[in-house]
Parts: sequence; structure tokens; C-alpha cells
Amino acid sequence: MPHIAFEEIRVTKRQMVKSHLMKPDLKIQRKKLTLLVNILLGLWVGAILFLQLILYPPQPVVTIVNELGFTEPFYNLQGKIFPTFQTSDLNLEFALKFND
Amino acid sequence: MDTLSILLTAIAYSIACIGMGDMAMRIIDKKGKLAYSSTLVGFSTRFLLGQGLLANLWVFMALAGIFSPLLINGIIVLLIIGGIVLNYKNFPDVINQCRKIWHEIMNEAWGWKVIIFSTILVWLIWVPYWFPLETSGSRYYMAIAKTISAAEQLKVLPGYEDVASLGMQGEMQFAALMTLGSPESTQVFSWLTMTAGCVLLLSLGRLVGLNRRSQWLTLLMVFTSSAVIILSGSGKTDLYGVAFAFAAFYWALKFEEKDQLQSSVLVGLFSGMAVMAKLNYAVNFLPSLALILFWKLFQPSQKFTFKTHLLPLIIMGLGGLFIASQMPVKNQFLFADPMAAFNTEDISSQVWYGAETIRRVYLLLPFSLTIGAFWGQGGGVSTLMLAFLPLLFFLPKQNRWRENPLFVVSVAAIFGLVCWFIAYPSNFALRYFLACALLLALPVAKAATDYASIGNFNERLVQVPVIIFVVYTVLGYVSYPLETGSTLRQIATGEANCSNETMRCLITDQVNNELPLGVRVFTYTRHRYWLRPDLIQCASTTEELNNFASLNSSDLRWKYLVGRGFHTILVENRNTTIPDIIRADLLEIPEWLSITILQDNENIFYFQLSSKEDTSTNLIGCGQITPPSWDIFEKSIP
Repeated sequence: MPHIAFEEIRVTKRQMVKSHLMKPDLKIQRKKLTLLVNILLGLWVGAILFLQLILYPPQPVVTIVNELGFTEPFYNLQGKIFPTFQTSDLNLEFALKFND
Repeated sequence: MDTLSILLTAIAYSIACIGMGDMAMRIIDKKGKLAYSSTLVGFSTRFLLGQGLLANLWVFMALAGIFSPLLINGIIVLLIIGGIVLNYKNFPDVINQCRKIWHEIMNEAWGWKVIIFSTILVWLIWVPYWFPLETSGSRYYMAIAKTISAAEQLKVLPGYEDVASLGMQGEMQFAALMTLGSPESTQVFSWLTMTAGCVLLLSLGRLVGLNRRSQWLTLLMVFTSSAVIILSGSGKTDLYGVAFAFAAFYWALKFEEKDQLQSSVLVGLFSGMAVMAKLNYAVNFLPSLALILFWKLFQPSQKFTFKTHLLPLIIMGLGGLFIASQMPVKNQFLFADPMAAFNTEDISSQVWYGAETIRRVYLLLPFSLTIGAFWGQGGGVSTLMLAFLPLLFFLPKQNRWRENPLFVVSVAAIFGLVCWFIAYPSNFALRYFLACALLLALPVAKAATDYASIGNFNERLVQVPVIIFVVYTVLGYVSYPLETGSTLRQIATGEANCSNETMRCLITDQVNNELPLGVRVFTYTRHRYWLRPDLIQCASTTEELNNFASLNSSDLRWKYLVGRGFHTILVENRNTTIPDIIRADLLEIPEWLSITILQDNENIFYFQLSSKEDTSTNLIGCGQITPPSWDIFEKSIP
């Protein structure tokens, strides 16, 4: 049996995988997968920015929300999300001392 | 002082720091072995080194009672001359480097150009005097600096005595700038310090494989972090610790065999400065740095020798101890106890909230770090870091993680954070571990730019949220100082916004003008910085506040106040212990006492006491025993 270097095996393996992936039907699947990943990422980034905007709306956004008449639903939504990121069992004794 | 004078003072003092750093570098690196990544890195290193050493010099001068305007001005003028003479040849290099960066920006695609200019905009609008002095800034950091500057010596701050037991870095810069006659420039100087720290963070980024785009994104993530924005102009000193920590990280990673002694000295000095600026960094920054050093020094390919492995560590330790020596010496002098900083109430004994909140903080850790609003948290890191977090999966795979410096730096940052979270789970405040948290911007920024380079769609997926977030930040934070009172507003209009800064306005407009010199004011106000220097030095001490609160009848409390020489009471009307007591006591005024109410509203109690009985036997007074310092003294009974 001829001696095959480890590196050569790796290169051959990589070529095999590459040629397998380059098959037309797999190419389409890869494109779909990339699209799905991008959509998921877009949703994630959008959700984070939306969360930021709901929790800490800048003054101009508050003005727009008020003028459009969405004040109540906006603050309702904020009131539902905000407690998750706030302290619910503050050590009042310490807090008072700290504020002193 | 007008805006130009403020900027010029901060710049002049920065040149003095560079001059000091330059002189120190001539001792540390006599043969010029250290290779800086760029001229800007050289300037930033010398600037931070110089200011850290100056802080120590100021501490010892203040301890000796020679913190006089003449000496301070003289030293600063000499250092400015030194800084210019030693560095003027480097200025063309800085201009060339800036020009090169400018050309790079001009050659960028339009999407990246928008991001880069947005980053510059965010960096510039962050000029700190947009924000008013707040909380502990005006409560003690700026107030103790004002006391040192006015008394020309290091003194404890009545009401916050234990603060003087901690390390002093930013406070001493504030005191020196106040002695130069420009208290407002303290905030600009903090901005310059953080900028120098960021230069070293970005160069560290280059060392771990970040390209220019990733560096811009890192910078954007730092300056859009709400914790950084909140700390920027508030008069607090936390950002000094961050800048020194970045410098220590940079030089630890830059560590090479040919300049190991010089790098070791720098790592030691910078880590000492970081811990002196923020003592909490001993628990998170030091473990983080230790991990990087361990990786750098103990590579499997290197043979273990004393010279290559142990000697650098010993030098670093000595460098750190040299800087940290200010604390025990100062404490021995002030409190007759070198370990006084460790005798004050340790943060570990502070339980901020219960198990339920702690569980939520750590279960939602990435969210808590970015958008959390937990008690005492004081802002978070940039939301962009959370938004681009999943992109870490798209970073190119490495065959050997151990050989990847970005991986090591990221693990070191996480290790530092974990150390803090384990030691102090109920003290989730970004300012305590900000340097380690911001270090995590490096892998995320690299992941985002790598992902963006895959294709046009991916590029937009990164660029669009960045631009939206910049708009959000600008809208959020630019509108803030315009609505509330701020130094900028004060500079622009010549007056504070009194609808938002009631206490400050009362103090600056009324209290300081009405009260004679050396009057003792019973106060625990968070706005004591605005009081006249003599009033700050003569104010109620912690012991007096505690004794007052422990007395169990209103008559005893009124007698106590008069007996301690307090004829003026200035207390914020809040639902805390002392205001609650005063509110109740005002309903029970004894016959021997007459009270003149000057202000009594939802914000403030401000009134004067005068006893109808003879008070000449009062034992406590305040005067200039060793001018210009004001001291509380016991009167001798005739």
C-alpha cells in the first residue's frame, strides 16, 4: 500500500466535501440555509433594537407616541417588559442608608 | 470660565501629563527598546503614565500640606515645557497618522463611511460637560477635590470620611485642575483620559486581529454604552480605572522577550493605577490580567527560566506596589491605620437585593449587562454588543484556540467578570467591572465585520442596525442635557437650570452668599460640591450625623445641634432617615429655641437655629487653625 501523508488525506477529504456541496441541489439548500440564518439574525437584531426603544424611549419617540395616541398601549407594553430587568426585592434598609 | 478656556486648560494639563510620562519613560526605557504600534499609542501611553504618576505626586504633596497654587502651577508649567520640547518632533507623525486614517475613511464604501462618521460624532457629543454633576460626583469625588484644592492639603471630607481611605487617582487630577482655576475642565480631562484609554483598546484590538472597520465598531460600542455615557461627565472617577486597565491589558499583550523588562514595568504601573482608581478592579481586572499574562508567559514552546518567567512577574508586582503605596502611607497619615481602606464597610457586606433578582440578573446575563435597570446598576454596555452576539458563531474557526489571542482576551474578560459575579453576586453595577465588560466589544466587533464581509446583504444587516442605534443614542442622550440642567447649558446661558437643579441653585445663589465664613452647616446633601470650600470643611461629620440620628427625643436632638455649633440646617427633603427625623422635629420646637425657616418645600429644608439661652459655652467651632484650611475644633472653656 503506498504511503499517503496525513496532510494529503485532509486535502482529499476537503475536496470531496467541497465537490459534494457544489452539487446543484445542495447549492440551493445552502442558499436557503443562508437566507434562513440571515432572516433569523435580522429578527434578533430587530427585536433587540425594539426592546431598547420600548424600555428606554428617547424624548422625540415619546412625543411621537403621544401625538399618535399610542400612549396607553406603549406604556402598557413597557410596564409588562420592564419588571423583568428591574429589582423586585430591593433591600430597602440598605437602599435608604445608601441614599443617606 | 468660557468654553475655550476650559478646553485649553484641559489640553495644557494633558500636555503636562505627557511631559511627566515622557520623563518616566526615559527612566523605564532608557535604550528605547519599546516599540509602539503607532505614535498615537506612544502619546496615549505617556499621557496615562504621566497622569497616574502625577496623581501619586499630588497625594504626597497634599499629605505634606504643600498642595499650593504656586507649586502646582510651577510644576505644571515645567512639565508643559518639557512635554512640548520632548514631543514636538512627534507631532508631524501624529498628523501623518491622522491623515492616513482620513484617507482610509475616504476610500471606504459609503455604508462604512456613515458608520465611521457616526462614531466620530458620538465620540464628540460625548464631550462630558454635556452632563450635569450627579450623585457621588457632586456628593464626594468633586467635593473632596475641592476641599484638597482649597485647603492645600489632603483632608477627609466631613460626612464621607471613609472616601479618603481609598486610592486616589481621578480625585487628585480634579484637585490639580481646580487649583489651576478651572473646575469645569475636570470633565473634559476625564473625556481625554477615556479617549487615550480607547486608543490603547483599539491597538489591543489590532494585536488580536481586528481590522480598521472592527476598530471603528469597537469604538462605537464603547461610546454608545450607557454606563460610559452616564459616568462621563458626572464628576465620578470610574473611567480613570477603565483607561488604566486598557493600558495594562495592551502592554500585557504587547509583551515581548526583547522588551520584557520595560513592558513589565508598564504593566505593573498601569495595573496599580487601575486598582488605585477603582479598588473593586482588584477582584475582576487583576484576575483577567493574570490570565493574559499566564498565556503570554507560559507558552509550551518556551523554556521556563527565572529571567523570562519570574522576573517579569516580580517587576510587575513591584510596579503595582509602587503606585499602590500611596494608599497605606496616606491612611497612616490620615487615620493612623495603613489598612483603613479595608476596615470600612466592605461591599461584600452590602446586600442590594434578594435571591429572586439575583437569579434573574444571571439567568438573563447578556440582557442584564446591556438593557438591565437593576438597582445601582448605573447603565450597561452597548446594545450593539447584544445585537451582534450571535455573529460570534460566524468567526473563522481556529485549529488551536490557545494560539488565538482574541480568544484568550475574550476568555480573560469573561474570567474577570465571573470572578466578580461569584465574589459579589448582589452588587451588579457596571462601574465595578466596566473594563472587563468593555473588553468583550472586541470579539463582537470582529464577528460583525467578518460577517459583513461575506456579502452585500450581510453587510447591510450589520450596517443598518448600527446606524439606527447611533440615531437612537444621539436622540436619547443629546436631548437629555438640553432638557435637564448641565454644565454646557450653564456655560451657554451663564446659569443653571433651576427647575431641575433646585439644591444646586439654592446653594450657589443663596447659601454661599448668606452664610458668614466658618459657619457649621448640618447637612448630608448630595450636592455638597456646590457649597463654599469653608462650608464643606466645617460641615457635619458622619459621627455627628450618626449621633444625631441615635438620640431619642427631639429636645435632645435640638440641644445636640446647638451644642455642636450648628446654626444652619440644609437637608434635602427625601424619605430617608435624617430628613424624616427633621420633618418630625420641626413639629416639636422647644421654647428655648427659635427657628427661622428660609426654605421648606418638597425639595429642601433650609433653616437657621438660634438659642434663646446663652450658647457661649458651646464646645465646638470651626476656624482656620492652619490657613487656608478650615478645621473643626473644640473650644477651651474659660
